[in-house]
Amino acid sequence: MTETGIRQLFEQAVDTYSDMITGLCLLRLGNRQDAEDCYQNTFLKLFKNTEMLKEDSEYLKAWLIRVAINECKNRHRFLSRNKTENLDFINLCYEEGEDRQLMESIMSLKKIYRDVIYLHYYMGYSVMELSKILKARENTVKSRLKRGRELLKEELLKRNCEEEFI
Amino acid sequence: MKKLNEVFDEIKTPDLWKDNLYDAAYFEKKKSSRGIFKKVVIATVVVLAITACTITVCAVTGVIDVLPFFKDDVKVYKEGFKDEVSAEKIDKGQFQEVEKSVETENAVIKATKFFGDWDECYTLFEVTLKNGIVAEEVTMEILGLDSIITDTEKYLGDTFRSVPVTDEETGETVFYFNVLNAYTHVVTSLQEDRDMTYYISSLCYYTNGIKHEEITDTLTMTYKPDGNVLTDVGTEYPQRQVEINGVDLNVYRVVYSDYKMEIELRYTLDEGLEPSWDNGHQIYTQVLGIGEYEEFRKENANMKLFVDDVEVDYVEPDFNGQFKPCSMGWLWPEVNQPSNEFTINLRFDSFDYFNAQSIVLQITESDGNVFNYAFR
Repeated sequence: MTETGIRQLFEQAVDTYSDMITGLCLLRLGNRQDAEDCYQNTFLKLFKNTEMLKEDSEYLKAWLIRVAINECKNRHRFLSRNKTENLDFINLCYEEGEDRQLMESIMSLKKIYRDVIYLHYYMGYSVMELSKILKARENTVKSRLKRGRELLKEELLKRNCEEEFI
Repeated sequence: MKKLNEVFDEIKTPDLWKDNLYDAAYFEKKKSSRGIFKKVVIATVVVLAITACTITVCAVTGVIDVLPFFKDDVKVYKEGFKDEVSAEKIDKGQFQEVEKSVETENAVIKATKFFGDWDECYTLFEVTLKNGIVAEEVTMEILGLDSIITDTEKYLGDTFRSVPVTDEETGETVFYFNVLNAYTHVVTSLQEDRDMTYYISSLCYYTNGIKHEEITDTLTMTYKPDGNVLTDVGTEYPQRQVEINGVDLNVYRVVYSDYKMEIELRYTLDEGLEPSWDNGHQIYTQVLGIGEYEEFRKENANMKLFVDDVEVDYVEPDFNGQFKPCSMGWLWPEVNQPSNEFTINLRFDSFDYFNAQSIVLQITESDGNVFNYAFR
């Protein structure tokens, strides 16, 4: 494949999956600075792995999600154990209102719940597909979805918001 | 109210991120990582497993076969943790009785035994649940530090699974945890005659597959370990050079213990290469002759150990997956100061190193070249 061909495929992949990876990194890390680093590292890995650019779209998408989650985990491993996250992206993306409250509620959940909620309810992955992507047992994924949903409803109730968010 | 879909739809990649990405990809300039990196010190060698579980994730394993021998620690180690070496040490009485406990609303956590050797030592914990709670599994996130450490925020604990043992008569279940102690902290506390303090940051129990988190604030427990119960190990520092697959390595240290023989190889990144996990890992895979996302498999290992001409197997990963047959480490000599030095740790089954006549590592390089490195 020529260099031009590689760049074309790469830029197509970036256009297609950029928002998805941005969302995953922001949900995982909370602040735009760290999220951008992990976003960049994820796509740079794709750029260096030209064989992956030729894979079918579903396989490539799952691969990108796994790489992004691992990048975020590696970044978080070295961050200080500060319980208060910097959630600057919420301030920048959402004005005051119910959707900002919904996003704040999502960010109040532990990361393992945010992942599955984003990937299942927004990206549309089934439990079986998620168990492969996240390398977790199906029961684990189901438990996380159930618990994540419960915790999110509780949080929304506390904020006097509607509980039905799906 | 907007639904999840609509809320997530609001998240768009800023144009600047894409511009920076294309700059980095096409002009081979990597955006420098920002953020604050804190050190996790397990020993003078920092061992980071690539695919290790995230530290705070507790695995739900469903119903586990509970063991029927109640309060028999030797059997717990033999048949629960599958650890014959620890079982033998306990059977021989080579342990310190530790009687420390803390309680929560629904659980009692006890430290009961300290044992091991001067390279690898453990504390046995027992957890029992109160208020009639019946759980399939309990997991715990815990870290032991030298009690002189006050700035504990920078240290991250490990999550341990348990072995459940039930009394058939009373139905009471005890969940046993074999907690590996952080080498540096145990050694310094023993040398300076100080206590070890254990920080329990999470205790989870699972009923019908549902996870319950028992702890909201970190609990602590302190005791003074007794070095007299620890058995000796043999340590050598060959400090010799070897080249494998084009990488210069220092055969830095070899440890012979009842648990294993461990070979530590060290390598340094070329000047100009940023000290990073990725760059270190690239060299790691090059030495082992494996692909970037490939995990080490002992069946295909390019390095094999022969003792008196008989092959010695790599270790099986232990119950909590902390000692793998091969792993990579990154040396951080000071807080916030990553070095450009990395390690490869190879772990083989234990053997009678004292009486062995020949100990040879047979190395097969990617081009088919085979050569031997002799320790003895």
